[in-house]
Amino acid sequence: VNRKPHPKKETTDLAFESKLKINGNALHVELDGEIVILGLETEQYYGLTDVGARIWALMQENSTLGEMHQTLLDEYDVPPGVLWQDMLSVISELVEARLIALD
Amino acid sequence: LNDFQKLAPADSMQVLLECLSVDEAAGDPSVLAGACPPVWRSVVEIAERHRIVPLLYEQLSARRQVEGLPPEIAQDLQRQSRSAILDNLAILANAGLLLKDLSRVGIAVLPLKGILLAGKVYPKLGIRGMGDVDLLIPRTQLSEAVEWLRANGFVPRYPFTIEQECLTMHHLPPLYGPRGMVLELHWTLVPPSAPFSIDVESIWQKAGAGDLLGASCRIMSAEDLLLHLCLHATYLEYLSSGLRPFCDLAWVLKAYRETIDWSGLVETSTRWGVRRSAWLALNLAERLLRAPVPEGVIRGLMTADTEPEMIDWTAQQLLNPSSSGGKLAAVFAPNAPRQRVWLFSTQIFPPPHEMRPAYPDLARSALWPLAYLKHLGVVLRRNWRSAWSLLTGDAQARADAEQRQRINRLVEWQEAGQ
Repeated sequence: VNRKPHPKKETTDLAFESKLKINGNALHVELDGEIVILGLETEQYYGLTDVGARIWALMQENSTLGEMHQTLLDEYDVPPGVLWQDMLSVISELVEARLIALD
Repeated sequence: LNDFQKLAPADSMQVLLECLSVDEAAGDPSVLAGACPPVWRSVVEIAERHRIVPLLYEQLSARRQVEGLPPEIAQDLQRQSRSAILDNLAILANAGLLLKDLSRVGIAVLPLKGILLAGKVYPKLGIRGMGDVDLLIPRTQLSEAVEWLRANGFVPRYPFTIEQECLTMHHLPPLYGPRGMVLELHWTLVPPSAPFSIDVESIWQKAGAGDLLGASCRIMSAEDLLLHLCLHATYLEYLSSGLRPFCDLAWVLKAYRETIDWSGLVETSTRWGVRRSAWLALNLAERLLRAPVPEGVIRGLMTADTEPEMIDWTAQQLLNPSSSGGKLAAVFAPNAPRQRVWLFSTQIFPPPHEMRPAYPDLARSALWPLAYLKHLGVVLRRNWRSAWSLLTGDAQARADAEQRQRINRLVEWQEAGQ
């Protein structure tokens, strides 16, 4: 399996009510606070740290994007709009990499 | 094996075992607190030889003890662990894809050992390493599975026929697949020549439907898994795999402790003829790693001819392996001259099923006598130093050979039924 970065792509059809599910073809492991994900389809490794790692953990709890947003607002000192854009940015990369999909 | 055969300072091994224990609450914190940097360096080196660095790092991290390590040792451990986990993740990813494909084409699969333990038993994916992927396939589907694998890019280590291999081996030759995958298809758990009565049919019947690495497959019952691991730990690899098989046992015991049917396990071990292996392996897992084994079970597995020293012999071989080869030690054991000649000749002229995997190119061709000639060279090259040391009465060589002879005796004892 190769270890290459993956191009970024925005996803626009996400809403507060949206739920995401982790693709069955993605293996992940937590390494010293970083979530390392291996996509079985793309054969590439991805690393999520800090907020990205937290988003991944919240996805495993089956939270909606709105719930995720609220949880992260409680945990981080960040304006709501900035957080939403950051979330979309991370999520769009994960969707593009076929590691997650809209539920 | 040669790398593994180095002496380990006793205190380093004590620290390592304390780190690997699956019952932290029963541990002695002073063992770790008193370890100095050279001891920690030695602990990491021993863990490398036993192929358990990621597990060591995970245990230290989970107990927040990494912070107490000398920084350069903590960094080295973290780097080695991360690298191994990423490599293992890749093996598991490819194994997951293969499991899905085999399920799709209707081939029944029961994952064995590494892949199952890594995916289901250990606390984190990837901390249990594996060199290959071992799968149990019904004997009746072996041909179909091999055909599918060949059509999908898998190449055997040497040409074979299933019928011939199954006469002598419990698995087919390794199949090398795409992306560096090494696959071993088993049809039973031990070679047909081993004097055990493994009931493969009942293994399949007891296995439940499950999910591993995102694929649907059958999952071996905890009891059968434990017995298979016991055989691996104390019999199949002649105690040459170090602590890892015992870590496997300890984690299975910890993971399934609430659901293990102990009376069923004892009954199956008796039926299979593997009670001695089960007693030895479970006893050591409990003593070395504080694996949760009910005391009554260990007592119940004991046979009348069990000797208390056997545990010490096994522990000594695990923690401080003999550098003597098993066959060489057998030749130099106190035997009748005729027996020695027979043992020597079996070492020089092993049966064809042992020659085929070792010399795949020669053993199958018209030049097969050359394989024996090559084997003679290999045996002489590997053993002449030890043989010379033994012949000249070297005390260390003699002690090593005697230790190995005790292991040979343990293997024979396990083969002796109930």
